[in-house]
Amino acid sequence: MHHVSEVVTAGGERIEGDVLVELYVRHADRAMRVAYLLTGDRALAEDIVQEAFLRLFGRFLHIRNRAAFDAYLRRTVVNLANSHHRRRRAERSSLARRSGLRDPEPASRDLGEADAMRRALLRLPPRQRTAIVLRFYEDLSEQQTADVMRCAVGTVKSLVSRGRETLRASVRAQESE
Amino acid sequence: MDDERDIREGLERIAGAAAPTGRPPKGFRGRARRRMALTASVVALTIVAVVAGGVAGLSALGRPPVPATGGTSGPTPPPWDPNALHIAFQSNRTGDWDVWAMETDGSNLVDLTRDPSADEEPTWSPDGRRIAFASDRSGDWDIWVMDADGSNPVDITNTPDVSERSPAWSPTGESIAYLRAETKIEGISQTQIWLMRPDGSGQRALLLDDAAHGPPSWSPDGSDVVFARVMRTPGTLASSLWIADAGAGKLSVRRLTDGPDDSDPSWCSDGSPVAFVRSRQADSASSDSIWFVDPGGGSPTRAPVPGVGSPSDPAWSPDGSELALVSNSRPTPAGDIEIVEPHASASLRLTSGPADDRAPAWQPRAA
Repeated sequence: MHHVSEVVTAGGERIEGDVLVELYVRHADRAMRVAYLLTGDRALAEDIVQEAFLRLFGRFLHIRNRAAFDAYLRRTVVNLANSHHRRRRAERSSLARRSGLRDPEPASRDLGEADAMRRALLRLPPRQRTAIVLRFYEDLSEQQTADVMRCAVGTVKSLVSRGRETLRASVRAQESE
Repeated sequence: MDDERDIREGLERIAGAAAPTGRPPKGFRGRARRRMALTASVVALTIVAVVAGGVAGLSALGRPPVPATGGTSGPTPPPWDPNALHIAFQSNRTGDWDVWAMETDGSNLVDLTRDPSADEEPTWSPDGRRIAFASDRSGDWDIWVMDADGSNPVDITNTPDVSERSPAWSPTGESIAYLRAETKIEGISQTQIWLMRPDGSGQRALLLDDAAHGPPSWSPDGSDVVFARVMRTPGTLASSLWIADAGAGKLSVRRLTDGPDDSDPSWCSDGSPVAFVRSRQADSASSDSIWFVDPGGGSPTRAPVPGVGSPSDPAWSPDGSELALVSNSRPTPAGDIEIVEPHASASLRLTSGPADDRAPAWQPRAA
């Protein structure tokens, strides 16, 4: 093991550290809201946002276009939420196979049962929910939504259309109950 | 409830229930506070070590390599032409980062890792038969080695309290250089360049200092390593390229470029200059371009390569005639892999689409 004789003296401002903290302060709230909309679970949303920041900070020097940090963060949050949904799906089908039980409903631990819109959103298939959230909460264009979801613009149009139909039907059904 | 306004208002109402506090969420605050106390230059490169710090356990240095077992860790054998020349790279096209390979014309894309964890930064053994890469599939970042077709992945570092990334296989095949970040007291850590044998044994630091370091790249004869070294200067950070002698004798380190924002060096081709990315800040926007510098010294020159939007991750082809690099030209943060030939006017785009493709590495030609 070797030690370099020339040591650069620490000192000066904590520029990079401040940048990281500033990025967190600026983007965490929004990321938390998006993760919550995608999962309906506050604790899970916190975990996802935390994991997203850790992943991005770990790659910070590799992020060339740092002005687009919010786009990196959004994509990472969506990817992590999708990974969660995939894992949940695998766990549920495995459980169903072993127990002979029906696939249980997705968890909605934090969402109030009184809000029809909340229930309707959670009942959407994950990809429809993601498309709805990106289009109407993040206010992305169809092309931007397609970029984040890594699919064609036509797919986004279809997902949004079907998502809106399902939302409407679900809310009306709840209102008539 | 079917117009956009109702949906937007509904989503705003639901999102409000996330009760943002303006503070880091529970569980992150401790890490955020620790980060603020870190020396700044170290934080950016070593935050991954804080992830590793969340994993309990004693040091596993010296632990024998652990083969991947069961579950999704073992990829099913993909179609693979052992006679073709490939470029390995990392891509998130399946929703998470995997190591992929394609032939050098962009055809026959193969997902080599197929693991739900992140698999990144591939590097080839000099005989082109194995690939080392960084993966967090064991719970933290380790260096793994697999056969070129994705089979037989093995965790060769297996250190739950240390993060290892950015492997570079030496041209002699005897050593792998990599970045190692170890969480220390209160999460303070440094990213240093270490060396080990391809089976994970003989781990040792190439050098230790208080700077942070970027991914290493080997000289063609396997005697030297070039890397970016991030240092703090009054009021800012500076990243310049340095060369270290990786031999067993007396360590000599010399500065190759002055920075202030040089990174991603690629050497590894006999007679070729070191290619690297130089960033320049102008009007609050940064622009990146590929530069060359003679490894023996001298002034860097801007590389005579055709225009590629915001390039990164340059990698020399085995014969030094072409560069693979990542083009970040689209407004969305997704890279495409291109091949450019210095002094030629054209480039060849190998990947496109919304996926983020990065860290290309050429398969060496079999001897």
